[in-house]
Formats: sequence, structure tokens, C-alpha cells
Amino acid sequence: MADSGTADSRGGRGGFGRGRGDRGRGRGRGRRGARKDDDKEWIPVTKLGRLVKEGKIKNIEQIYLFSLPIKEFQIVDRFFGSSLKDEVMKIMPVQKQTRAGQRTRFKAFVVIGDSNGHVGLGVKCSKEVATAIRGAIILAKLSVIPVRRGYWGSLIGDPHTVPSKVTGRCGSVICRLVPAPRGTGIVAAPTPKKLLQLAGITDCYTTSRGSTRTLGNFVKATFAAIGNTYAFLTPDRWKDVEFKQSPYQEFSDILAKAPEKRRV
Amino acid sequence: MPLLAMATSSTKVVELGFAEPPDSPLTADNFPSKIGGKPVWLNPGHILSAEDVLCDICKKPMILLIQLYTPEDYPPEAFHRSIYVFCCKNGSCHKTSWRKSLKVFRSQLPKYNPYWPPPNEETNNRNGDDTNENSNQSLKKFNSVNHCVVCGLYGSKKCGKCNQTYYCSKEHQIVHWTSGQHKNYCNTTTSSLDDNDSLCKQLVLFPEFEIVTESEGNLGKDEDGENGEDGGSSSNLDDGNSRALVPVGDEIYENTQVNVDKAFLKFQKKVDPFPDQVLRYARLDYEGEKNATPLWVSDIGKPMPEDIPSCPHCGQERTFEFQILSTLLNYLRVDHMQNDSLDWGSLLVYSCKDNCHVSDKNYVEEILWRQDFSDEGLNWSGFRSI
Repeated sequence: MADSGTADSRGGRGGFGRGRGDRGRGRGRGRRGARKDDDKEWIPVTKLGRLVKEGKIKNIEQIYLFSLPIKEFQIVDRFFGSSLKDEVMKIMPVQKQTRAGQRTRFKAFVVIGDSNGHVGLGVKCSKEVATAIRGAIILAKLSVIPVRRGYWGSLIGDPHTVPSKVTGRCGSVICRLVPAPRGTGIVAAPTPKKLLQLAGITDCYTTSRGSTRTLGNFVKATFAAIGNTYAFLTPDRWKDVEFKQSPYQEFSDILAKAPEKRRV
Repeated sequence: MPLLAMATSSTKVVELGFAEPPDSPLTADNFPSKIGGKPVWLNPGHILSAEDVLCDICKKPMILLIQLYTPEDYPPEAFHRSIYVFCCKNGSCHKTSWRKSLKVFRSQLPKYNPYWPPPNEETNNRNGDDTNENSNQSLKKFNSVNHCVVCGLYGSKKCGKCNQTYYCSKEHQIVHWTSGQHKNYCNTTTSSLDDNDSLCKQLVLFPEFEIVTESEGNLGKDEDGENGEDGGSSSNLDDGNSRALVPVGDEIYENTQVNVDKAFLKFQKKVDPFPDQVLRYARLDYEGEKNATPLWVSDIGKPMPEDIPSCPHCGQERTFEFQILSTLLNYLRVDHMQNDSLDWGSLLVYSCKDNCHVSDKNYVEEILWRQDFSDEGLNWSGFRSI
């Protein structure tokens, strides 16, 4: 490999930069050790990434609780592993007029979810389909969001449907999710049905309005509706909630004073 | 104006630095580039003292974060050149004001200097010439300077009891007395001094690594990569159709804008081929018309022109020389659980373009700019409550 070549090309005068004159006695040497090109270990860049890699954060809910921005998709990978399934919703060619004809790029819509309360949506445009899909999967992982599920009637068993009527809109499309009794299944068009399945919602009635043929808007509207499940304040959350410490603070050596109480 | 620079930044080749454990002791005559540990002085006759590298917030002496050996050809006084970056280990100082807890110094020596023999004689040695004269000059006599035994800065104070151990400041004397076991070894023969110091060194200094360099090289300059898959793109489209739920059609009025942190994604993509890089050195040629631009980690937090003043000694502008990435924090054994732990997005070092030589100053202070990651994740603007 070209490692040692780099040091020699500067004539053995090590160090950085542009000095190429008479040779000094610097220690420039290339990297030693095997170059493992495949299966590279993840080196985190952000502080949250470092905390996740060390295992100090147990699950992704701790990150959601404090709305910390997730910038590295490997963080999501580490929490979910292989339980995240992705689905390509659509590959859409978009064209731009140039002097030399048209430049076509492909826009990929990817939905990702673990069928147990987390979904993500990614959109990426690229010159090649495979690159667009790969990029969209990464963006989908970055946008994974928790889904709140509730009951239609009696509170027996696991939550299976949306907790209340929620709606989301994007462009002209409005998507409304309505709680449904157990066993109904997902009553929706194929597009939001896939999204709701990946979210882990078992039963749901849906209503949509607007130009639902525009798939980008439709899927974003559904995604917004799903995201609104945790934004909706239901009576059982009226009580004051004691906030725990942020993951950045939780293991601090400095003992915290009385935890702050805030109104939700 | 910045637009033009952005266009060239992604294609300019930089040298990457990687942290590796040193395979032989990093001594001054090898002109090392290293991380942490004690500073190895290029100019052993004049070294920085604790007063020069005080953190302005906590008023304690700072420790070496990184030092680079960056020789230059012009001017001749910069034949040997080193850059030292000092940083306060206390993370809360950085949180208060990072400008006051990070300092950069440039030190340079001409080819013929009283400390190191010129390299030409070295190459002659290999040809078997008479080396006696050179070896006499290799360790030229100069007034040996006392180093602080804890951190390597100038030791202006010394232990009152044994008068043999020097310190740069009271804080280090206290640390050495307790954790460095000097309490037990004061006034005794100092044969095992280094072993006892290790705990003290771990407490005070950053762990020591050597920086090895590699050029970033050419890695498929296409913005969307992989040339090999070009041939199959049309067939990919059909496969894409069969996989997708909705067939391709003419779509207008699509709102598919996503608020992603584009700058960060670009940064990640650039760093991805060599994920363990810690340093990016950009000043690689003399005749480039455009100054090198750093690899930004976010769209905000970029320095304005007034944040990077010109060199006060020669008036030449200061240009970007290298940047330290946040991956270095993985090596520094920082306790990330602390609320105020040391953290940055990227540290950019700007230095005088001409390497001006100031006759009475051995260490010239340069500018360091810290850029942090933006606080935004993926923003979905469609979230509105009912």
C-alpha cells in the first residue's frame, strides 16, 4: 500500500506540511497495522455518539426524553440492531433541464421501522438509484421517532391502536388516524398502511384528503400524524412529571440538587 | 466570496493525522508530532512557562493537547517549525469561554541553530564520512533549562526540601507531592522516579500518542460515488419499480424537502473513508491562489473575517493551516458523563501565512477557532398539533 510512500516522497523529512527543501530528521512514517477496509469500526464524532458507544445510554427513549439531536445513524443501529426493517416506498425520477438535454436524478423514499413503536422516514435524491436508496436509509434512521399507542376501549392487553384521533398534513394532503377496536386491522391505502405496520400500530381507521397521489406528501402527512401521537396531551398526562437528569448529567460526580419540577 | 472557496474545498487533498501509540520514545531530536504527554520542545533553550499558558478562566496552567512538526522552506528561519496547542483540562472552562482556554503557539528555528545539527551533515554520515566533528556538535552546549517534572513547562519554582525537583506552578507542586508520591521520594535517590510519576501524569496530562500521517488520496471524486454501478442504472430503475409500492408517474406539487443538517452529512461522508482520523492538515503547497478552507461540521459557528485578525507582527493575513477533529476526544480518556466534559466539533488553527520570524519572541501566538456541531436533528416541519 502507499503508506510508506508518503513519508518517502517528502524525502524522509517528517512532519506535516509543505517543506520540501533540505531534509530534516523528522519522524514521518505511514500508518502501521493492518488496513481493515471492510467492516470498519464506528468511531463516534459527537458526544452523544461517544456515550452510546461506551454503553452509558441504555435505550433510545432516554435520548427522546431530552430531545437530543441524533446526528450519527450508527447510534440508532446500536439500539435497534437488526430489528429495524426498511421498505422502499417509491423511486421517483426527477429531471432538470440543462443546455445539453435533461439531467435525471432519482429520488428514493424509504420507510424504516421495528414494528414496535419506532418509525423513520428518509428521502434522498441522487444520480443513481442504489446511492439514493442507501442515503435514504441513513436519513430514515436519523429520523426515527417514537410512536405512542393506546386502546380503543377496555385497557386489556397491549396497546394496539392510536391513543386518540391524530392528524398530520403536508402540502395538500391531510391524513387522519382514528382509533379502532382490536381485530380491525389497518384500514388504509397501501402507502400509509405500510408505514403504520412498521410503526407497530395493529388497528387503525384512516381518512385522507387532498392529492394523495403525490406520494411524498402523503407519506410525510402520515408520518406527521404518527409523530403527533406523543405531542397530544391526554388527561392521564396532566399530572406533574418529575424530570430526571439529562444523560449528560445523570452520571455526573456532582450531586444534583433537588430535581426540578415542571408542568408538562 | 465564500461560495468559491466551498467549491474547491472538497477536492483539495489534505494530509490526515492518525493517533497511534508511540513505538519508540518521542524525543526532541526526532522532531515528533504527538498528542498529549509533555511537550517536546523544538527550541530547548527557551521554553514556555506557566504564565504564558494560563487558562484565563481558572488561572491554572494548561496542558499540551497536540504538537505538530511542520517544517517550511520559506522563510529560512522556519526550517524547523512546530505548532503547540495547549488546552485546559477542565471542561467547564471551555463551556464558559473556549477562547480563553485554548492557546496555540508557533515556534521555529533556522537550519543553522545552536541546538540541532543541520540535516545535510546527517546524510553525509550515511556515506561513511568522518563523523567525529558532527557528533561533537550534535549535542551543542546550551544552558540547560529546568522543566517542570509534572507537565514539561519551564520550572521556575522548585521543591524547598530537596532542591532537585522543579515545578512550573504551585498546583503542580501540590499534585506531585500527593499523587506523584514526591512526599515519599523527596530527598531520596531518584532512580524510580518515572514509575511513581505515572499516576500523577495520568491525572494532569492527556495520554500520549504519536501522530502518523497519510495523504487523503483520491477516493472517487464523484459526489455520489461508485462508478462501477453506472451500467446497471436503467435496470436498477425497473427493479426499483417492482420493489416500490407506487409506480413511477409524473409528480408535481411534491413537497419533499427535508431539513437535514447538510453540512454535517457532508462532513461525515468526507471522514468516512478514514473514520479514525484525528487531524486534517491543509497547508500543503505554496503556490495555491486560494487559501485552504476547513471541512466544516455545521453551517453555523463559522468564523467571521474579524474573528481571524492578521498577524500582528508582520501584517500578513492568517490562513487556515489545520483542524483537529472531535474524534481525538476518543483518545483523550475524557469522562464524557460529566455535564461539562471537554467537547468540540472541530478546532481550526489559523496561522501567519508567511511564518514571520520575530527576533525577540521564540513563541508566537496564533489563532484557534472552535466550531461546534449544530443542535438540530432532523426537523420535520409537518408536525403540528391538531
